[in-house]
Amino acid sequence: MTSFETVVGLEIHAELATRTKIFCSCTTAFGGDPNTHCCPVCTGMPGVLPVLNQRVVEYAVRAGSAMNCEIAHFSKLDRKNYFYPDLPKAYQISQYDLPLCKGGWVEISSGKRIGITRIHIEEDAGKLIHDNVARRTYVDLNRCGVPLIEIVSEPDMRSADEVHEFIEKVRTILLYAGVSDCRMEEGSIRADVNVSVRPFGQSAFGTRTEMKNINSMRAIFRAVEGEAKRQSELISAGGRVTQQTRRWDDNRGASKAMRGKEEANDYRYFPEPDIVPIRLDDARIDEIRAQLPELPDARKIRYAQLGIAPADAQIITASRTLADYFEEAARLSGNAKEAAKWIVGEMMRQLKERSLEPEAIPFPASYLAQVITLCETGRVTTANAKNLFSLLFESGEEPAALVEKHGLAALDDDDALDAAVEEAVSRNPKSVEDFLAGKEKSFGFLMGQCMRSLKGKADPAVLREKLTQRLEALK
Amino acid sequence: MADKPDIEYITRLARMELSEEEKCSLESDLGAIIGYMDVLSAIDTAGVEPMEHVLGLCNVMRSDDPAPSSARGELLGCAPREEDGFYSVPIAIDAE
Amino acid sequence: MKLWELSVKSAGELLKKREVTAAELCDAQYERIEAVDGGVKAFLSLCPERAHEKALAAQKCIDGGEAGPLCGIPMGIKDNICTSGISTTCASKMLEHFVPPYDATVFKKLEAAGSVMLGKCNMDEFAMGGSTETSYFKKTSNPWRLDRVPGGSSGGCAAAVASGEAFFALGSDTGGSIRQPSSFCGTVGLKPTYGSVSRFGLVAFASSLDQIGPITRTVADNAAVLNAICGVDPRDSTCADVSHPDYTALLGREIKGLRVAIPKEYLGEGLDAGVRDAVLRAAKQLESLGAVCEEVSLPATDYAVPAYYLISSAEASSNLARYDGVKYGFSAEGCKTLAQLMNRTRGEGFGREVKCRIMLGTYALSAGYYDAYYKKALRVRRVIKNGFDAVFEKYDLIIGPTAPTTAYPIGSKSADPVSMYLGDIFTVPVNIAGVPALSVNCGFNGDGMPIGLQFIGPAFSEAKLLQAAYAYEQSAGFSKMPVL
Ligand SMILES: [Mg+2]
Ligand SMILES: [Zn+2]
Repeated sequence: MTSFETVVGLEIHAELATRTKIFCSCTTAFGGDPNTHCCPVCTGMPGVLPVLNQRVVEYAVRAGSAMNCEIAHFSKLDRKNYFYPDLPKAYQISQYDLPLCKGGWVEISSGKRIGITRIHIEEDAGKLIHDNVARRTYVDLNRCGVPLIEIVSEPDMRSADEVHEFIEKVRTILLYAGVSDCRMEEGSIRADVNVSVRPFGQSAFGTRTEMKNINSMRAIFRAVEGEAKRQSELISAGGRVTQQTRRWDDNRGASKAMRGKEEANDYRYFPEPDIVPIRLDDARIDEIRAQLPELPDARKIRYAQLGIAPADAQIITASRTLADYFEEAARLSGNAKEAAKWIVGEMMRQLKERSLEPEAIPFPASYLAQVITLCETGRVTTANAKNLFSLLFESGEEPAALVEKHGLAALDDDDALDAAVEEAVSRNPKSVEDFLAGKEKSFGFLMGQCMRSLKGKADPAVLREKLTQRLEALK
Repeated sequence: MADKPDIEYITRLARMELSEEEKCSLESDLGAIIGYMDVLSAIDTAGVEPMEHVLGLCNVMRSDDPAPSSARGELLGCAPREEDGFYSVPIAIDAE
Repeated sequence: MKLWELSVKSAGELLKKREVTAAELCDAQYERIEAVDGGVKAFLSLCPERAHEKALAAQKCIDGGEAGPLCGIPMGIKDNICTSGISTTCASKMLEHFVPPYDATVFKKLEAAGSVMLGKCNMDEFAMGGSTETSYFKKTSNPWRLDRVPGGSSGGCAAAVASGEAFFALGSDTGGSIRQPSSFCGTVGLKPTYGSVSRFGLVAFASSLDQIGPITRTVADNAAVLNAICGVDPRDSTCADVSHPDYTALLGREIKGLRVAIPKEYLGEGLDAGVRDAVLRAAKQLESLGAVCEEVSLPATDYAVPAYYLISSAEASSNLARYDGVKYGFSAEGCKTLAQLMNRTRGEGFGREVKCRIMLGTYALSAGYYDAYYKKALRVRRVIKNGFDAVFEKYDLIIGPTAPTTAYPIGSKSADPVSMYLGDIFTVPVNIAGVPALSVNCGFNGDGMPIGLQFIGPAFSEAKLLQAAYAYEQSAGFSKMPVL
C-alpha cells in the first residue's frame, strides 16, 4: 500500500483582547446575560454605521509584526455577504484582497518555518442555541462584533504534531504580543483546518477538505489525523477526495460532509462603503512595532548566553508570564542559572500539581530571588528551601517570615553540629569501622545520621567538614 | 457579456421567495436592465483604478473606550419574537 | 399672508418679534395638513402631541432670547431618517411597525436647534424610485396637479413643502431623490457634498452615494437648514472633518464674473423642449447678472446611469440583507424552518422595485460578474469624477436641467424600467462624483408644472452654489405656491 504524506494549512481565528468591540463601544467581556452586550450597531439595526476601533488595527499590526509579516501601507475592509441568524447585518465586515498583514512566518522547534499567508481583521458572529424539541433556534448577539484576527497559514504542515506545535507557537506569540488572551475554552482562539494527502515524493497537492471552527487543541489534532486517514484510505481503495467542507465530530472521531452548502461560497465580497481605508506609513508601523515585547525566540538566544540549557529556555519561554517572572527573579538574585533551575524544577512541579497557569503564581519573583539568596548564603539548606517553596505557594507570605515561623534557618551553632557528629560516631561504631577500612559509602550514612538529628537545618558543607575532621582524627 | 441572469440562483443568494408570476416578470425586467448595463463595455477604462470612496478619507477610527450597551428590552422590543432574552426563530436545520 | 405660506426666515422673524408663537405656527401647519393632505398625501405619520410639546419648549428658548433661526419652525422628515420612539418605515411593509430606539444625527441636531417635527413624509420604498409610487402605503400627489407624481424618492417631503404643509423638510438623495422631486414640485432641494452631513440614522440604500439634505421653499431657508445639519459626526466614519462656513454668508453677494459651464450632454436628446427653454432662459438670466456661461462637455454622462444602478443596487443588495425577520420589522408567519422564515419574510416584505434592485445588485456582485459589472462601474465612477474635476478647473459651477421632464401623470411610467432609470440622467452623475448640487425652480411649462434648474459645484462648494441660486431666485422670482 502507498503511504501518504499529510498536508495541512490552517486558518486560525483569535479574539483580540480589546476592551470594546470592533465597530461599536460595547464591551467584549465574556459571558453576560444573552443580548446584554449589544447596541443598535452590533445588532445591525437600520441606519446605524460602524466605526473602526483603532486598537484593533494596532493589535493586528503587532501580531503581524510578531509573525514576521509585511504590514500593508494601504488596507481596506470588505463585506462578506451571507445569511445566518448569528450575523445580524447578513454580512461580515472582514478584509478580502488587501489585508493588514501578509507574507510572514513562524518557526517551529525543528527550525522549519511555517508560512503565514496573511493576517486580517474581522468581526465575530453571535451564538445560536438550537432546541430540537421546540424546533426553535435562540440567538444571542453578545459576541457579535468582537474583534478577531484571522491568521491564514500556508499549507506547510505535514503532521498533526506540526499542527499542534504551530498553533502552540502562534498562541505563545499572541500572548507575548499582548493582543489576545487565547483562551480556547472561551472560544477566543479556534481554527479552520484544511487537510489533503499525497503519496510521499509527489510534489503536487492532493484535493483538500476543510473542517471549520474547531475549538480545542485535542480536537484539532484528532481532526487532522482522522481526516488524513480517511483520505488515505479512500484513495487506497481507488476513490477520490472531493473538495468540500466537512464537520469534525470529535465525539465520534470522524468528519462528515456538510449538506446544502453549495451556494455558501458566493460571498459577493465588495469594499465596505461605510468604512474608509487604513493607511499606515513606516513611522506609524514602527511605532506600533515598538509596542512589541521581546519575543520567545529572541529570549531563548539571550537565555543561552546566560548559560541556560535550551530545553529549560524552551519551558520558560513557553509563557510570557513565566519568562518575565524568570527574568525578574534572575535580575534580583543575580543568579540566572539558579532562577532557571527553580522555575523549570520546583515551580513547574508545583504549578502542575495544583493545575495552575503561570499567571496564578501566588508570590512575586522577588520572593523567588530571596529563596535563591537564602540558599546561596547558606541561611537555608537546599532541602529546606524546597519546603520553603511549598510554603510560599500555600501562604504567599514573605520567605524571611516563613523561615522564622517554621524554623527553617540553617544552624550556625558549632556546638550543636559537634554534638551531632559526636553522637553519630559513638552510636554507629560499625559504620565508622567500615569507613576507616575504606568503605566510602559509610560516610554518606553517617552524614545522614547527623542531618537527621539536626532536623535538616545544617549547612551540608559545614557539617561535611566537621564529620571529615572527626573521622580523620580516628585514623 | 450579457448573460441571461439565472433567476433561481440569484433569488437563492438573495434569499427571496418569489411567486412564479413575480419570477417571470422580474426575470424579464432584469434581463432588460442587464442588457442596458452593457453600454458600459463601450467605455475604455483601461488603467483606471476603481473608485470606492469619493472623498479619499482614511484612518477614521475611534478609541477603545467602552460605553454602556443598550437596555436589552430596547433591542428585543423590536424583535418579531423573543424568548427569555433571546431572539427566537424557527430552527436552523442546517445546524444539526 | 397665511402663516403656512411664510418662509422659514420670515416665520423666524415673526417668532422673534413675538407676533406669533411656536405653538401657533405648529397649529397652523396641522390645520393646513388637515385641509390639504387628504389630496396631497405627503405624510405617512403625524405626531401632533409631541410636536406641541416641542413647540412649547422652543417657545421657552425664544422667550429666553437664545433661539436660532430654526427654533420653533415646524418641519417634515423623510421616513427613512430614524426618529427615536416614532415609527420609521422607509415606506415599506418590511418596516411598517419599526420604531427605532435611536435618533439620526441630523434629527438630533434639528431638534437641538428647536425645530418641531410634524410627522414623517412618504417616499419610494427604501428610497428606490423617482415618483413616490413604490411606497407600500400610499401614492403622494404633486401639489401643482394632484394627478401628477411629486417625483421621488423624497416625494412626500417635496410635496409637503410645496403645499405649505411644512416649512422645510429633510430628504435623502442617492441618485437625485432630493433634487428631482424638488424640480417636480418647485421647491429648493440641496444634495450636499458626500461627507458633509452625517448619515448616522439614515436607513441605508447605497452607502457610498446617500446624503441627507434640505428641501425648502427658498434658497435662504435651504442655507439655514444646511447650517444646522452639516458637520463631522463621530458615528459616521465617512463624514469629513472639515470646517463648514456659515452657508448664509454669501447670500445677496453679486455673482459678477461667476464662471458657469453648461454641459452640452445635458441639453441633448430626450430633454423636454419646455425644460430646455427654461434652462436656457435661466442661463441668460445668470448672464444678465454678470455670470459668464459657456458650453462644455461631460463626455462620460451616458455611462452615469448604468454605473449608478450597478453601484447603488450592489450596495443596496447588501444593505437590505439585514431584513430577514429575525431582529426587527416584518416577519413571515407560520414558518417551520429558519430558511423558510428568511425567504418568505423577504419575499413578502419587499415590494417589486426593491426586489428588482436587490436582484440586480446580487447579480452584479456574484461570482463571475463582479469584474464586468460592479468593478467596471467603479472605474467608470472615477472617469465621471475626473470629468467633473476637469470642468471645475475652469468653471465655478455647472448648470443644467435637474430632470429631463416635468412631473408626469401618476401610473404613466411604471412599465419600462430602463426609461424610468433614464429620468435620473442629470442627477446621478452628481452622486457618483460626491459633489454638491441644488435644484431651484426656473419656471413652469405649458401645463403649469414646475421646472427645475440644477446647480452643480465642486466638493464643499455649497456656499457658492447657494449664492448663485439665491442671486438667480431673487432676480427670476418664481415664488408662487400651488392652489389647493
Ligand atoms: Mg474569516
Ligand atoms: Zn454594540
